[in-house]
Amino acid sequence: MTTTHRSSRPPVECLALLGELSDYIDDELSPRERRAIDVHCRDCARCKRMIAGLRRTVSLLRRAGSSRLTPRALARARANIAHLLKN
Amino acid sequence: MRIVTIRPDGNLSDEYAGLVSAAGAGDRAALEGLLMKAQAVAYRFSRTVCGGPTDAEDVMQDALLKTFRYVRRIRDPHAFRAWLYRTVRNACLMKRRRKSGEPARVLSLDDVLPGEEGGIGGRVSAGRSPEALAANAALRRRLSKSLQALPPSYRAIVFLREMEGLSTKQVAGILKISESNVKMRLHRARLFLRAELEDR
Repeated sequence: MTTTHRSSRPPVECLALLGELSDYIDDELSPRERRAIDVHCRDCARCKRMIAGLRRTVSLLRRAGSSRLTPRALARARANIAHLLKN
Repeated sequence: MRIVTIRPDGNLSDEYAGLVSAAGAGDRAALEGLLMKAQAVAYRFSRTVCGGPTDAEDVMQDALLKTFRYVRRIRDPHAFRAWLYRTVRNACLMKRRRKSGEPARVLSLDDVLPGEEGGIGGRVSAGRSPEALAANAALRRRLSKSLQALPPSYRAIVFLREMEGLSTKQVAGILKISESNVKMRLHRARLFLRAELEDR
């Protein structure tokens, strides 16, 4: 049965894993540490949601980082280069 | 005499190093490409970590001139990218010190992103209905506000690690802090941003 943890304060076992969740989604844990989180998440909806939320947040940030310059900034950058190389 | 050192380990090696080498050898197209990249990094860093558009344009100009000078006295093309991030960060810090405080204007990712195409919104939702577009725009605004709510030192880590795709080791080298410190701050920033974006 899946535990839902309806209270606002996470259980102690969830708090103990919280500090490792970034390493988990970055795949920087040892196989043993990773397995411990996988086993915990089988029965913990809260941690599963937390991991999914962290993944979405990281994905959102990465997409934001891959954006190009705005047209205004691009025009400014091109003008700066033209001016510099002209002199 | 120009001294060019190519490091075999490829630390922070990327397309920047190739451009630096070619620009240093007199390739004008490479020089222009490098100057454009340097300004783009400066603009993104400044808008994400430091603040308003006027500052960003000043930091772009600073990065342009310093990159131009760097190419003329090049020693290690692979060191360029880390040098650029440090240079841009220092320019931002100087701006902030002069203003003695955080920028009053909250960054809007609408100012940084060119729009739905290639922006955050276009890929968050599968649909492109007016409702979906409005939801995406709202998500962009929330991400902007959430980023601004982070302390600047955390924002710099989020920018370098998540948005520029550098490794923990590379970020630690640029910011001159330990790798464990980078990881700890990044984790806290992620938890904060997740809560801001999803728990409200």
